Amino acid sequence: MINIRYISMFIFVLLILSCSQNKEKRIIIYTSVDQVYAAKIFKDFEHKTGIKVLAVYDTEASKAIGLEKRILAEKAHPRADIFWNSEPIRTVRLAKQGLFQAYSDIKLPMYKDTLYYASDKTWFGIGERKRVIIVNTNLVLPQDYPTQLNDIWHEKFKAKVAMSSPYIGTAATHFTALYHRYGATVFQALLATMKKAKTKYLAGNSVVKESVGIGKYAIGLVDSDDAIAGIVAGLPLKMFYYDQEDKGSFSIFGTVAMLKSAQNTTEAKQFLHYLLTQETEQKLIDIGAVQFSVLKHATLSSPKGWSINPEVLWHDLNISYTFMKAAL
Amino acid sequence: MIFFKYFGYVWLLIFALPLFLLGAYTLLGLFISFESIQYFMRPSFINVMLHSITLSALVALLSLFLGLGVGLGFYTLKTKLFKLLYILLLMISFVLQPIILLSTFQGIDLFLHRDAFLQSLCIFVMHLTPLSGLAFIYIFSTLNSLSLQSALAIAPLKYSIQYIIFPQLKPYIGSVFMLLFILVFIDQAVPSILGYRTYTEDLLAQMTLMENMKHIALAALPSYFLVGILIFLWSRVKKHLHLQTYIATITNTKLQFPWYWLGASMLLFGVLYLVWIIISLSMETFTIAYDSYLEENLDVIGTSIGFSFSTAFVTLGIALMMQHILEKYASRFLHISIFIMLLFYLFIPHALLSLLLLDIYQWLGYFSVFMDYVVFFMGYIFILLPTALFLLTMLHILEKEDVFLDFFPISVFHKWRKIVFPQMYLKWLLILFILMVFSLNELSVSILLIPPGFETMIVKIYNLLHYGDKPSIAFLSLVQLCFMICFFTLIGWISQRVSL
Repeated sequence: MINIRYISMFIFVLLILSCSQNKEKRIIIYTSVDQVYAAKIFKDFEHKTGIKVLAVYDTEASKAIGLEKRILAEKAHPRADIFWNSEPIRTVRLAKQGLFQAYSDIKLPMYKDTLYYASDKTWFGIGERKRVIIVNTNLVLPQDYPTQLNDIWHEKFKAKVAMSSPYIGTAATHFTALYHRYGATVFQALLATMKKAKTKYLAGNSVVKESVGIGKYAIGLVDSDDAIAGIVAGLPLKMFYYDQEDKGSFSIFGTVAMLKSAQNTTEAKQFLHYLLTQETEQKLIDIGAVQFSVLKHATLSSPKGWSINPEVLWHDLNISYTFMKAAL
Repeated sequence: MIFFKYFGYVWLLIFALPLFLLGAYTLLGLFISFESIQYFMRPSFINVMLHSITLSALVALLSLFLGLGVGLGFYTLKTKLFKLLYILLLMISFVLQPIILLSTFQGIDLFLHRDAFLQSLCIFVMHLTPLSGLAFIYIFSTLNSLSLQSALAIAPLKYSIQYIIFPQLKPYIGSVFMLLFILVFIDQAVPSILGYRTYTEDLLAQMTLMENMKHIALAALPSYFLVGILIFLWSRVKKHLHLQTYIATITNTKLQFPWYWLGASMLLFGVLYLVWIIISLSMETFTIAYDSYLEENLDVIGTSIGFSFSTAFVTLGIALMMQHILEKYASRFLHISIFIMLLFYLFIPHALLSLLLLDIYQWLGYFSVFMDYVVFFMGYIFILLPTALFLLTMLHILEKEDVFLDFFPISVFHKWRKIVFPQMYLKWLLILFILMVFSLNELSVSILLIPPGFETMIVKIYNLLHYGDKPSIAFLSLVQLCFMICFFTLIGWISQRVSL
């Protein structure tokens, strides 16, 4: 009898808990933007609007199978209202599956280029970083500092170069873009050169930055935010925007989208309204999450760079993977 | 106790559900795109598979060997205080996450410039030797102490090991080796940070390309193959086992080995190691204001520790009930089925399991914040349950109980309360401790199933690692270490009433 009583009480408590409704205004955001940066933006948004942000963060280590897969798994019944991604290609991949809804309350002419937003207004760009070369200043002489991307695969740096695994995160976007820009033959030759140079592929950009910083490797290929975080932390690093005499460094921008059937649509719109402004983007630049703007009115000058419209690029993701799997 | 019986059966069914689903998805995936199977036959995949097998086998072998020494060392100590201190120190490397161990060791120049394979090997051996040592401490407690000690007193060390210790340990070595092998095999974090390509990392990269569960489930194909091999090997080994040797002299073993230097030197090494780890971590936190850091992280610390304790506690309870049902009511067929399921669970990448649970959640069709938490909780239970069952089975704790239970014509509930619990609680607490460590360090479930707004220490630590915020990482690691030391000391304090 005692057991039945306890079990009934337990079930009753569970029912009460499951039925209770929280009246507080809130929004659910899935984000792969670094927690240290995103949390500051969420706090500011909460302060300004009184809407509570319930965030789910990704980690660099799980970028291979993180929030993108969660959103896909929740396709039939989305739990998130907003997906704020640190790169564009996976957002577009989800958009092509019809997972996002359009947000019309935005002035598209504020963007520098049409590649920073979807023509059907299902996703928008926010903040830009560049792929950069970092060198350990204790291990590389100034006269050997690389200025071109191809310099880092020179014989003299053999087995001394590290980069994030080209299957994950921004490195995947970068290599897909290289495939798109140069075509299969040149891309395969590049992969062969990288293999010959005994390039090491590590778990993420931050790991590359750390490994180059402590002297395990002499040179690394990372994102500008990782490089700057390393320099600020006191690591003996120097950062280079490569190919400045050609098309410049590859640029990657963050993206944000509102989920179809979002449960808190009004709040989600408020968040987009808050995030997609020059003021918030500047805040992201100030805290170091991104280095450059995707908007027209930005005052900050940017080194030379190139990017490819993710609406076009996402088709090539699987093809570039196939080449990389075969070559690396 | 009808309730326990049926509750146990219900859990067996729940336990089997994701595997049935995985099997169905895999078959569908194969039906839709059979050519995907070619991916697993490519030289590059076979190469990373060999990488993983080599690393896992070597780590398991070394940890097994060192764990044996650690186990022997424990029984050379005479006082209870030293024994408790010994186990406490032993647990340090196990409690700390391998990535924290890695970042601590990278400060040493000799370690930094080693090959990625060698570094991964060192970190894994450091992390898993305590677990292997703890297993051997238990195993020694089940050996025939009288024959061991009388033989040790007269025979040289070499012969003692060859003819006395090893033959008695033989039945257990396979189990410990298998557990260690699997734990390394499915972990990709440390090798991928160091640039040593492994099977799990390659599989996860492949999963990024797949957009529906039918294709993602194909990633489990190598698991079927590996489980098949292990079952075959296990069935060969099983023929040579003498199960009776498991039924033991149990808790009051007064085993003592005469090589006092072994325990003393290991104890000294442990003290120095603890001091070094604490100093290394504390040095990183010099720049921070402790009170503001604590205030800032109090929520995540509290919820993480509370959550890991609850998941470990519930998992242990379920595992005990399942084990009880298996021992008392289940047929040999069910035993074998559960064993195979258990191996599957241990081999499947946790990310894949989390996606399967998300899929089941979608099927249920009832969504609320409360249900988010239920699914999250279940995710941890599914990850921890195989380990809990494995540990319970390996130690054959319940077999020992049954010997007692059968003599008493009272209800199962009373038998457990009056007889089993007083005898077994210390061992359960230790398993609870191990499960808590696994729970605190679980990353995939934390990302894929975490309810919105909830935060765990592991995700925070990984994010801080990305940002390079070493002081905060060191602070959180110190807090985790201190908490686990306190918990372990509590176990020690409780154990004052029983003989170790």
